[in-house]
Amino acid sequence: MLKNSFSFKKLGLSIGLVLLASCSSEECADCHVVVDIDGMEYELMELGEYCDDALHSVEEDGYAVADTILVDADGGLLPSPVYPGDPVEVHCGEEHDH
Amino acid sequence: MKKLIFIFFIPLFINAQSFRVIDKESKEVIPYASVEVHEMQIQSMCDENGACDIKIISRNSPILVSAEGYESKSFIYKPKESNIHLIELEKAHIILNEVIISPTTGIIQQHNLSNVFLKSISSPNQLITSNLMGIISSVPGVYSIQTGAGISKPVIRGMSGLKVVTFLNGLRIENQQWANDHGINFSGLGIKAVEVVKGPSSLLYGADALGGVLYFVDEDYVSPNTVQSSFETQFESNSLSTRNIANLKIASEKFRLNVHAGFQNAADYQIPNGTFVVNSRFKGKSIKTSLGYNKDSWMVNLRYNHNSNQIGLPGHTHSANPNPYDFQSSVQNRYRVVPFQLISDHYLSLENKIFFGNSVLKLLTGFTSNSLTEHEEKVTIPGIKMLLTNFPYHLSYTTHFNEDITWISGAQGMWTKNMNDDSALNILIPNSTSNDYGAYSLLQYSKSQFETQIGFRYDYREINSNQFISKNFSKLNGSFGLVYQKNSFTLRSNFSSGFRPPHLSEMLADGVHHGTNRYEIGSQDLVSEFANQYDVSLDYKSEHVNFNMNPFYNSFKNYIFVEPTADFIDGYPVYVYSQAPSAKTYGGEVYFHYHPHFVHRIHIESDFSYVIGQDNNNNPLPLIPQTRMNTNIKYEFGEQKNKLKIQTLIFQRTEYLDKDDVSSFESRSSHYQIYNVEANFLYQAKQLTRIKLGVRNLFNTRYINHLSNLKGIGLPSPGINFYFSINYLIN
Repeated sequence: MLKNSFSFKKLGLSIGLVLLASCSSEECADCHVVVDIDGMEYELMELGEYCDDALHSVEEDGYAVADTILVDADGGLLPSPVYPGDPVEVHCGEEHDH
Repeated sequence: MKKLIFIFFIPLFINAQSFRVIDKESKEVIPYASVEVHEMQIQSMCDENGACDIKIISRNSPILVSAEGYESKSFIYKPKESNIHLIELEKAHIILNEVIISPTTGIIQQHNLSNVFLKSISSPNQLITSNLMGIISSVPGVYSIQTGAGISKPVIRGMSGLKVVTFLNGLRIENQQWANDHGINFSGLGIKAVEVVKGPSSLLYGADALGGVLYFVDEDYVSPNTVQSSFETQFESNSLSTRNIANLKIASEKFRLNVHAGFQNAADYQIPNGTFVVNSRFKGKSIKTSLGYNKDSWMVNLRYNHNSNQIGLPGHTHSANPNPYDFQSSVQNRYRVVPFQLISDHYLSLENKIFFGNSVLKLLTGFTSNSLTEHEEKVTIPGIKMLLTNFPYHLSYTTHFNEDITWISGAQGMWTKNMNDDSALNILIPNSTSNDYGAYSLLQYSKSQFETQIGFRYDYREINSNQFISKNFSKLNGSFGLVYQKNSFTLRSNFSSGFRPPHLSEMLADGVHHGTNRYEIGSQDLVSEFANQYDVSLDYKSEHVNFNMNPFYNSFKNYIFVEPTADFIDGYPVYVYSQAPSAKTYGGEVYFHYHPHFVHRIHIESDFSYVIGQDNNNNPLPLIPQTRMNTNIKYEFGEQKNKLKIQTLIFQRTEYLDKDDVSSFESRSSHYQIYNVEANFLYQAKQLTRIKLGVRNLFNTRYINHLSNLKGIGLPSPGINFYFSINYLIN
């Protein structure tokens, strides 16, 4: 015989709240294009915010450079120009630059 | 045949026992004493008349009887003609030495041949820490490698990673522990205590345990026909961390159930200069259930535990000369940014015990899975993603030939599989499977003041990978120990050996490990590591003083370590795995507990941990911790009539000395000391509420531990941290 002073209803509710406490929500992130030159990473341009499927697409598909790029996103001169067809990467979800 | 099976399972021993707990001097009953039956993992609370009834199905099980204000008593349970046991407890104005029963061997620590340390996790007298390793690293000789506040992993006498093995209720936990950023992924949820075994321990735990073992055990079940629940909430000011836990324990005559659930969420932590360490945030949730059942002389425990954590990786950089200010921010955040880890673990185990007269047969089978995902530059595409599954098993048979001789033998093994997910950008270690088989036998003999133990074990491991067909490793290990007790002194001397085959990550790594910002390269030429440890321990116990001194010497052959090179690949520094012909660690721990006779409410506890690590050329080994001195002063308040009572006030000082003997690619670490204070209150209304208030790093000291993964970029540990905890118990 279990002791009576115990409320299973309250307990169930509390455990339920604990278990449901974390819910998934929409995932969005700011993205930018970077290039690696001689082991150093340079940010070329901001792409803006992407969410969910669009975020996955931009990360997976990457970015194709259309015109030769001579300066980074802050206006600094790159050690060597980035030409159309050069490999660049899309990075998303960072809080600060390296 | 049927007859034979019937005889095999016949209940050879089952007995309802009545315990009555009384004061030795006055012979008056002691109300609400606690009786713990070790083999059955039951804790029963006696009634107001000091009486409780327990159906005990195990002969020779250690029983622990304790009550507030009394010295605990332990004894090996032997059935008597009468089923009534009168337990006399002596009043104690102080409790200097807790009575400890080893969860692994069931031996009362006083008779244990190796100096294992049992640390309580769920005790109300335990100082609150930010994570589980915070509690464990207060054990002498134990430290932790930290990556911010969210990741920490154990270091025992200077050994860490693959050299330290973790068990949870006998289930071996595999969690890609080869990397310094892959910490213990479970919290203290529902855990009663951890047994720390220092040094090589292959005999009982199998291969790999060269540095030591952490053996966690869950909280006991409640006594039959009882329901107990509690809710706990904790808050820390430094990282605005919240932790909420719900516990339920329920038992009938044959079934017992424990359920625990909890979640934690922490933002970036603040350092003494007032800024926040970017991406040191983490959050996690866990659930744990244990279901116990007994029938006649058979007992079974089914346990399940799920832990899911999302952990930010602070201090991430590709720069050779990073600036610490690049990783600090004036704003405190908790949303997810790259890089981060997603770790999801499942642990399932089924433990069977069958008791025959003076023997017990145990079979533990289980399953663990560890899903590790690391995102570096992309939110939706992982850098690495691996699923490590493990099926361990352990069959053991313990028999007590007579009062003096005990024989334990067993077979242990596991089948492990590591799989990379195709969605990941990189593969650091290849897909593989491994098989472990081991068998051991251990004999214990005690006579008057002497106790001795000798044991042997043979292990075999086979690894199959798609990068080589198959490799196998094997070794015979042993252990010998002797205990001599006289008056207040106990002298222990122990020799133990262990071996560790090279891990896949050490043989086949060839890729970027984002968690440590390294390009790691393994070597297929590596061979097994061996270790032999000599350990001596001297104990002195008197009414007011407890003193322990435990020097050790651990020698290694074929010591495996990772070292940096001058090369860079893809902007990452290249690290390679190599092997020194020999290495050694030596040092020791000293523990002192003093209770001044003239101030009965004060306890002074102090410990000192010292370890030196050197390779075959006497060059310092990496990641050897700083020498540490830890002092706790506890004041226990007396009886109070108010509903809200202050119980204890604890003041803790931890000092780390300068570390000058560092390996060639480490920098020196400076001396520092930190102070913590905590007050414990009890609010006694219809139900009981425990309240804790405390401050960690009281003087907002800036410090960087030698084992911090953020040391290289100059990021200190958290500054001043106010916290509180409220634990509401419902009985």
